[in-house]
Amino acid sequence: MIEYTWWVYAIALFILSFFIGIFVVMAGVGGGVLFTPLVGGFFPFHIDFVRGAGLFVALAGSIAASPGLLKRRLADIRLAMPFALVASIFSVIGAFIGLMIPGWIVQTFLGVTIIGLSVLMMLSKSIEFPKSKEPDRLSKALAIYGIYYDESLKRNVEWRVQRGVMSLFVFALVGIVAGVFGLGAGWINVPLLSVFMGIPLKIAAGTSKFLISITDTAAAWVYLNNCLVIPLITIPSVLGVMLGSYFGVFLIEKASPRTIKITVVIILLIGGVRSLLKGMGVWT
Amino acid sequence: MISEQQIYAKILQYFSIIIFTLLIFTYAIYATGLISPYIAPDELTRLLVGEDNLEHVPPHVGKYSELAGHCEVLLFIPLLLLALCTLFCFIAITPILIRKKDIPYLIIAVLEIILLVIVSTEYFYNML
Repeated sequence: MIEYTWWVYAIALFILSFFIGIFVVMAGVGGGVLFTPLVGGFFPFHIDFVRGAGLFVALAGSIAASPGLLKRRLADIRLAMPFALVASIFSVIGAFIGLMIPGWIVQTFLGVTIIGLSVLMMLSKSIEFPKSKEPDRLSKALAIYGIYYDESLKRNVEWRVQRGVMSLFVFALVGIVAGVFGLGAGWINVPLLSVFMGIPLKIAAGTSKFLISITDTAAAWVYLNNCLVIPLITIPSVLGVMLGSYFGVFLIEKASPRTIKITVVIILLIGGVRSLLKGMGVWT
Repeated sequence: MISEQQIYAKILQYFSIIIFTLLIFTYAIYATGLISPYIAPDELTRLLVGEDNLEHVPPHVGKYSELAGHCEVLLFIPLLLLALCTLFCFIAITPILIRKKDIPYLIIAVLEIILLVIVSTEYFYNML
């Protein structure tokens, strides 16, 4: 194995993370789903340290993008808070479960689910702008609804939440999965918010990105407590993804919903295939 | 009246700028060797590379408390701020939710604060 001096790795991590930062804002994912397999696969660092850095990459990318998304109303705090709380609590429980269940079983199942979701999104015709139906009891009680100006369409788009109560249970499952794998699970959040809850894809991607900043925080402390965050590799990656995310926020406003849909599907497929191969022991 | 969304965005933006600046500043100090590191970057890279070398990495290279007096301590400041900023944002929106008498969201915010305090306590406890 060829070993380079430390700053070669630092520069390479910075450049890779910069492009990940741009790409993941449009897809509403944290970045761990791309960073961990790419750095774990192409850099010589031990996977435990890559996972630690990957979690901080997801957290930093989300924190860099969220102010812009919240100000432009492309992310909604009232939509995110109840589901983020449920996902945070269950991600801590998931971290404990992860220590007990054989990882390959869950990983294989997750890969199949994610690939299935990406196929569903590809075939679905109305997820960019789902028809605004009557809100359910939970969303009425919590006043979760909104309107945003879509610059690519030059018109206002109204959105409401469907299946709010059921979504709380699904987010609990998402939290468990996130805790088991130490990921932000943005790749599950986006299809869940758009396909299941009927939220326009642009708001789903923005709110998912914001959600990660809340749910990943709990997991970040677990990695810090286990001394798995090494600044030498984490900081260049975090800097790259933050800078990339600042650019990504401008792109998401101008990007067409179709572009976002294609981006989400591609990222989901990469994450799903990676998870499946890892679970089956083909690419560990 | 300013909304919780605006306040949250504003505070997160301040944190984001401060963290970004600190990351550049502290990493520049580390890279230039202005303050001596506990383990030189090239030596640490050698230790981190490869599956077989995990046991050779001293466990405290990722632990803030063991590195007092060395450059690595500085590097952990922006990373800890990254892990803390969500907690500060939730604390900041709580008075707005109280003023608005938005009880369901106030409960959600308080529960999130409690959860984040619990998970971060272990790290600060170990630091002492």
